[in-house]
Amino acid sequence: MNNHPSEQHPSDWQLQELLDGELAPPETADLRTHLATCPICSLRLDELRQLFASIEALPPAALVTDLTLGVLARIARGQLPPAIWGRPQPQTWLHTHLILPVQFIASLGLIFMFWPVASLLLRSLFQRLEMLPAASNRLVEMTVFISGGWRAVAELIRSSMEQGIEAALDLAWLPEIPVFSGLPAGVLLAAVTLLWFVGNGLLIGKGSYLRRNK
Amino acid sequence: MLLRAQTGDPAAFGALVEAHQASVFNVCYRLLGNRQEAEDLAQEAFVRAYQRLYTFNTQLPFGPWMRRVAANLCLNHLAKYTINQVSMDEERDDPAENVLPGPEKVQELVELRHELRAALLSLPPHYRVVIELRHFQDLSYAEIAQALALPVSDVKSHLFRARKILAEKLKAYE
Repeated sequence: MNNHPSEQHPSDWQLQELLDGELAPPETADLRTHLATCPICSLRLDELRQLFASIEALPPAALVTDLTLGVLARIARGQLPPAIWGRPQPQTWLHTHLILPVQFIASLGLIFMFWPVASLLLRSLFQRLEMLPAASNRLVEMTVFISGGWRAVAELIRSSMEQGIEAALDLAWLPEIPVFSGLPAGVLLAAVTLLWFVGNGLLIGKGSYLRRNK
Repeated sequence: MLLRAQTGDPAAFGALVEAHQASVFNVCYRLLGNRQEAEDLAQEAFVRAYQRLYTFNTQLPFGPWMRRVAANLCLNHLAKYTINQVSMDEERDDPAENVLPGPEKVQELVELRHELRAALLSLPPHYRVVIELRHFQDLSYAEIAQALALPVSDVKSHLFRARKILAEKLKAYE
């Protein structure tokens, strides 16, 4: 910025930036030096200052209607999920190291509990459709394994109550583990996944993933 | 209050609405120039804010964030419906602000305000919003750029051109 008023006047943009407090300190100092000696620019700055003041002096309009009830009514009508549903869940140590494995084991437990019944239904379906005999055989193997597992657990509990846990463990037996492959393994995996998702409220419930992304 | 509202407590959010409704309504009114529309959009702004409350940092004041939500909503509304509404509702200023002596002076001031509001409403929506954010919400160029997802150079150019138009309109009125 030149100090001589007639040589180089600041642009309107620079004057506005000065009033907005957006000029860097060295530029501000230069501009103020110029303004101190240039009546033309001082007048321009005053006009701008007056415009700014007029805008900012516009009084607020009075609100005659209370908006609170309308907003709350819309929330209550269920048009909105509660605010908390959108909040990303914090991934704590507990969450990643304990809750997820527990959820997985619980899902697996549920599958094992209902597998014998489910496999009977699947087998009768396969037989009725006269298809997938190999898959049907694998279902039988898995059912035998799972049923055997439950029997082993029941036996372990009974023996430990009668003879103590150490003796019960000595006598404990495990059913033979079948080959988890093909359709039964797929069904098992899909069932665990589905239970896991349902358990996390991703497929069902208010504010679920699917509902939020509809 | 904010923390309670963030956990989905509608009553706590109601208290926030009550505290900030006048300023949010005024943002909408300055940008839209129509009372009914401003009330509707202010209500909509609160509803949107409720949905996005989890994104709000409770260490910051709620009012400025809420007013930015309202300004953005009005800008989208204006862009969608491209209303360039020069006419506006009769101004009903807050009575507490009208404390000037002398009927002539008061009349003059009322007319100037009316002209200024009309001039503001005649601006293109993007110009109107930057004026709102700079002069009424006291945001810096960088903050306006962030709020509107625009480059700072665009903010400057909108702001300077808007002021130029306003100055010319007011000069013509005088």
